[in-house]
Amino acid sequence: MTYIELHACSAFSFLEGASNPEALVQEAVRFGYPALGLLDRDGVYGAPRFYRACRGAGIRSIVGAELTTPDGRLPVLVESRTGYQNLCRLITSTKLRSEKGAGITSLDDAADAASGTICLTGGRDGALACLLRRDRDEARAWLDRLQHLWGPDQVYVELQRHFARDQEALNQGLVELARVQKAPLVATNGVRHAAASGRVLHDVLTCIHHKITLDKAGRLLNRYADGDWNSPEAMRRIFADLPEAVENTVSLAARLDFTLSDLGYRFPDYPVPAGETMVSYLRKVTHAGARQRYRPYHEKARRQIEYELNMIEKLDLAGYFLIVWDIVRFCRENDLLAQGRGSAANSAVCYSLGITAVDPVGMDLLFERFLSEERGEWPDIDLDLPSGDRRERVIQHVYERYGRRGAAMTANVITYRGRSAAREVGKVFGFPPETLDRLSKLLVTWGETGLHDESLLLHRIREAGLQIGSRRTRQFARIWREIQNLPRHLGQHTGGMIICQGRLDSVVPLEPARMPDRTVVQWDKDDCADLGIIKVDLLGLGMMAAIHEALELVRSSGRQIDLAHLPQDDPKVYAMLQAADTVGVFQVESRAQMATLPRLKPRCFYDLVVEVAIIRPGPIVGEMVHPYLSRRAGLEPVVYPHPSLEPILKRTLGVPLFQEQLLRIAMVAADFTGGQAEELRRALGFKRPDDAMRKIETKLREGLARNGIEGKTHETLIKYITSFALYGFPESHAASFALLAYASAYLKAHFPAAFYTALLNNQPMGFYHPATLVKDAQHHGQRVRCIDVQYSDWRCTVESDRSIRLGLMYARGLRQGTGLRIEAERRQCAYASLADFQRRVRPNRNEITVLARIGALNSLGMRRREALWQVEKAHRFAGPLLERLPEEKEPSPLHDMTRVERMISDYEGTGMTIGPHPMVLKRRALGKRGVLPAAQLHQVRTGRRVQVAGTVIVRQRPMTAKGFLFVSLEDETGIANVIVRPKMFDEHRLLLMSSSFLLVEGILQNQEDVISVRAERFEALDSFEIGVSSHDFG
Amino acid sequence: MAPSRFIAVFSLHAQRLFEAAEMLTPRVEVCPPDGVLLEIPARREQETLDRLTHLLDRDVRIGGASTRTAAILAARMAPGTLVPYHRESRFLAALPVTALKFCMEVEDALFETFAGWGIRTLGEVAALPRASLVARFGEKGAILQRLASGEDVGIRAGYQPEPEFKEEQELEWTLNVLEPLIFLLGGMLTRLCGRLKERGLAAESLCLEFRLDDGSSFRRELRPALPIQEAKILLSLLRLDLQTESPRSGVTGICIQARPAHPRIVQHSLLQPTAPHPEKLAQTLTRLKGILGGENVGSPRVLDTHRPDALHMEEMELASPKGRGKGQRKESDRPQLDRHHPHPEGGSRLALRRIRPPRPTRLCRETIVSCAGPWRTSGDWWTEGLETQAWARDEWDVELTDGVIYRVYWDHRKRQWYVEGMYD
Repeated sequence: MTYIELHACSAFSFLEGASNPEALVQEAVRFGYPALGLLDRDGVYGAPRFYRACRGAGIRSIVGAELTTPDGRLPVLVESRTGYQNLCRLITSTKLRSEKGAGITSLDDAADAASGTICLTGGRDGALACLLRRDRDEARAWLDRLQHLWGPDQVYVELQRHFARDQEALNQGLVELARVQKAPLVATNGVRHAAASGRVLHDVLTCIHHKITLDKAGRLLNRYADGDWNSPEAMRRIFADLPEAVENTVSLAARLDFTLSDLGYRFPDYPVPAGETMVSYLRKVTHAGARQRYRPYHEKARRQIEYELNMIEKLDLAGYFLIVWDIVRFCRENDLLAQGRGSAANSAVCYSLGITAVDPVGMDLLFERFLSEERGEWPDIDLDLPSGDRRERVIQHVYERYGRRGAAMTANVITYRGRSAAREVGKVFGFPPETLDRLSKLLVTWGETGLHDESLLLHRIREAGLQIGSRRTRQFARIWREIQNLPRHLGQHTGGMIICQGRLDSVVPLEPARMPDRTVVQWDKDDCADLGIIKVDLLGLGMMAAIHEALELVRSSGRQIDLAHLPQDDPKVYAMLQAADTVGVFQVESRAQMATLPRLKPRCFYDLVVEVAIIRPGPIVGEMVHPYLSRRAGLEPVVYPHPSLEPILKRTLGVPLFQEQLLRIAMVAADFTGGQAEELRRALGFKRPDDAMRKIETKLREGLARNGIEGKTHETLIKYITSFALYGFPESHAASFALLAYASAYLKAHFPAAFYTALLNNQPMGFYHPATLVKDAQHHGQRVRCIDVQYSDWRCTVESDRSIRLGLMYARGLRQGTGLRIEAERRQCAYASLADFQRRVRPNRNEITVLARIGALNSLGMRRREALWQVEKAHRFAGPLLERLPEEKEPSPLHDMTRVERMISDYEGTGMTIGPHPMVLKRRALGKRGVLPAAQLHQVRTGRRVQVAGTVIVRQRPMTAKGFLFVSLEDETGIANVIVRPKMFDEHRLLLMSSSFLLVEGILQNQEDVISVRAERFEALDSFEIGVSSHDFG
Repeated sequence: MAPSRFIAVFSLHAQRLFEAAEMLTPRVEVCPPDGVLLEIPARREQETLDRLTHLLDRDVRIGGASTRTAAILAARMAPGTLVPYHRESRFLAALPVTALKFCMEVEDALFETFAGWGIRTLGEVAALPRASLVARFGEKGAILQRLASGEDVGIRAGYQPEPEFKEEQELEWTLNVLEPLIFLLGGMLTRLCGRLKERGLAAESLCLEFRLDDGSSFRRELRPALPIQEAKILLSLLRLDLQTESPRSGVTGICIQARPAHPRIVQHSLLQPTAPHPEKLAQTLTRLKGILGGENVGSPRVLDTHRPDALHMEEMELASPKGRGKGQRKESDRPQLDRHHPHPEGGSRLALRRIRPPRPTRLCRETIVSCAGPWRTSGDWWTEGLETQAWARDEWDVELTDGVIYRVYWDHRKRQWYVEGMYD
């Protein structure tokens, strides 16, 4: 006789279970169970991972959910697909009528889901147990009702034995009820964690759930330390008096033959005109599009499109392409920019349909990277849309088109990470708030991967002021490690949407999202992909919004510009790129990109594609960057790791830079089949902790050895391929991004006012703070005008003389409603005076004060101080009777603001200044100390000792940089880059991380016009009490 | 009339400050939280300063001026300064605006407004047009400006020291026997309680200090279960306490200090059962504590934990001013409802006669007729090493050949069987 656990709950019960589904399955295998039932709380969140793990382990997965009812919990097991669909719809209904994260299912509602499901009565928290504790007759009536609704054979009285005295008394009552009602018994363990040690973690999660410390949790915690798992033999022994309860687990499990392989999901059909099939219609619209794209529609393109269409027909994907085309068409018709990214750019059909903007025929891109017979999965088309309201319009269009229960966003499972784990676990252990602050700052994985090393972790904990010898601290460290990657709650994916033929809520339960008018499914994008559910990514890209707005601004000034037909070889653009003058330019504005541009010297579009792809963790760790740049500069010869790889690597001078090249190398040099290459592709893009890459590496080594590739070449190729697991771009994706990079560079070069204005209006985005963008605009001769109630709109605008007028949105503390009122009232007529402004706009005290402080009221005939003097009186309303009396002009007794005061007010009120850079005020003193402005660094020879100073605008500590910190210092002449060695960083961590103004002394390095200072000494400078924001990246 | 001068003094030792001030002048005002203001004739200024310096620590901050405001600000912002007559506004002019917070309650927003105006000193505030300030801040604007000019605004609270309930007596001879000591204590307590009664107060606690002939002292603290006004009762409690623990050598001096509190007045209800008289109960409790030890007498409170028989002994509350009835408990007294593992209702139960503390035992398989269990509990796994509360045990009910059912448990940490009780 065996036993099957039918009531396990995973960490996807969010703070109620302490183990991931994979760990539960592993434990079930250890105990020799042939099947396992997962019943997560009010959902099937963990079901896909559970299903995958069971399939991998060769045991059967049983799906269900533990529903929350007014009387207690009601575990429901799925018997058939109908039952699964009923359960999903039931959970959806409950969730959609409740607040996020809440929801109670009534028994009447649950009865609707009865068909195809079996219900258990639950453990100690089960509804029957709760009622039995209250009133035996009530419990009996409830069980009777359950049997009536589900049918007598569909309800099992559940018994659990956890070595608890009170539970035994309860079980006696339950057995008696079951005998009276002739209900079968079933034994379960109500498993909530995998290993015995999981109790500790489970206790901590319980405390987090109840917002209580361990010291105060009392009987909320687990009663005993042993695991909930028992072997079949142990279960037989424990239930020796009730053997049928154990036997029934097997017979009941045999009835539950539903698995997630039988979901019944179908992608929607596209409605085609009469007389057309989806395939014929796709051909029609593709060829029509191709004739627009290819002028002339040449034979090579025609052949490629025909090949792709045949493949699409063969794989029955015509509907999918038509639906994505339909979304893109909606965008076009509504004047919304949309551009496909990722591997879709490898498809000429996508290009012809207007989904992507890169010509794959012209660029000789590999279609199979996007779609192949061997992949056996749906293609992935990601659309970039302007972020914000414009993208929301597209999302709502999809909801309207496919129904509120036919489409939903994919979920994003929020898991514990360093900072969140430190804070929440520390709180449970009762650490004081200041210790929690220190822990959450120190236990972040910012730029380092080694925190899972015990000694480093304990070192950090000691730094936070805790005694590492104490048991409490050691337990904290243990739990901090164990809780990593455990689900915390469900979020929403940034743009992944799934749609369904029929009702999506029959496939997976839907929940309300935090954003209005949005629903989210209970599975993340990888789960959906694993189960064959098709996702369309509608991603918001700040740069798309900025480009869109910049084009509108250019057009509104009467000039014409067509994004699709920008001159491809614009010398001004390439000169700017070669000079690394790229602040604000998409994808090539980072410090590392800027350091590469002068060496790479892009001269054509493909160079830009390379530039976009080369500064990625894969190429950097694979040490591909320097060989490529040296070969390009003619400093070293172009050689190939193996003669057979020349056709693959010729275009990138013998160095692989794109994902496709790695796949081809594996196929050519290691004899990978298409399927294995596909496996490699998935491993390269797989973000979950997995050892897939290690397995593939073994296969790669075997393949290379078979082909006689040994020694250094062997290792080089392995390094190339495995390093891409860290992240590298496919060529098509790089090309799509390069298009946007070129467009943004073109706008910066030719329409700078519109470009900067659009950037300022779409923050936050990119690498730099608005203050830096403003300074960069000024360096480029753009006139930036201050915020002024007589001229400023809510958003930044370009004025008739092509100067940039800062928008009211940058006045800190000004509400959007007030800003829009200022704009609207002024359109009626200009403000005559402060009193007039006050009367018409009705700002609150803080708002009018900030406007006065930043000089936004100056055009009402007063300077900042005078305005501040007047507004203090003006905000005391005279009331309706007296407010229209002529204003008494009272002279201000205050002195005007000094230059420094104006600057401080600007930073306080707007986070930036259009006046002189703060470093101007320090320059004389710094000059005497020999500190050089950033712009003069290129005059200094390499190896000389220099001093630079500036505001810290970026701190970056990439994982690939082996602990080095890169700091960008901005002064009135430009930006200086500082490199800090790991040891220096450790010694001066606090100073480096907390100083807004920094003086750095070090050795100048000038490598092919890429200038940086290797730091040897730091000094924090007086910050004028200005809080300059720095963008810190890991 | 001779002009007055004001001396402001601030010190961390407020009590000593008040005592010293009272010695110098009856015109003492309080400057919360840690200062006093002395009003003195101008001619006595230097003398007062000298005496204050002599009486107080060096770390006091003193300032003198012809107005209260200027004296306070001098003491706070420039300790040791004596502002010359009619030079107050000149002295204050250089002080930062934020100094105003020492003279009145000023919200931070107002200082922010001044900062925005570029007004940094009191002199600049004083120079602003008063009418304009009133138009902006109302009456407060005028007050601020007057203060900034060194003028006094408003009336300050006079100083009234807290009464002290203390009796001291030096003995001419050494006392080694309890009875004469009790006799002396009786007299002292009568006087003390008389003073307490005059103010409608009672003694919440009594601190006794006996100076001993070996130069040391012997201290006792008596905390009756409720505030007591009756010297007789206090004396009997003291007697019981001293019988439990007496001075180790002869007594040469006695000091008794009472902490005053309002006596508890309870309206008894006809419907409530009669309880023992609180004072008598207090005596009984004190007697019990003397016999059993303080930690073993009180009200037991069941702790919210899975640890069996876990309780905490709390100080017994004899009567509540709110008139809580017998058997009624505070919400916090009640163990939390166990959401995960509620105690079952119903079912037959046996009474367990507990053995406290549980007794180590050895189990012999042959003597066991039947058994039920194990019932497992463990917890407090996060607690510290030596003081750990962590426990882990397996509990069994065993029927032995003698026909008695015992509750026994195996302590996993001590690796030992214990018998916890017998079922009736």
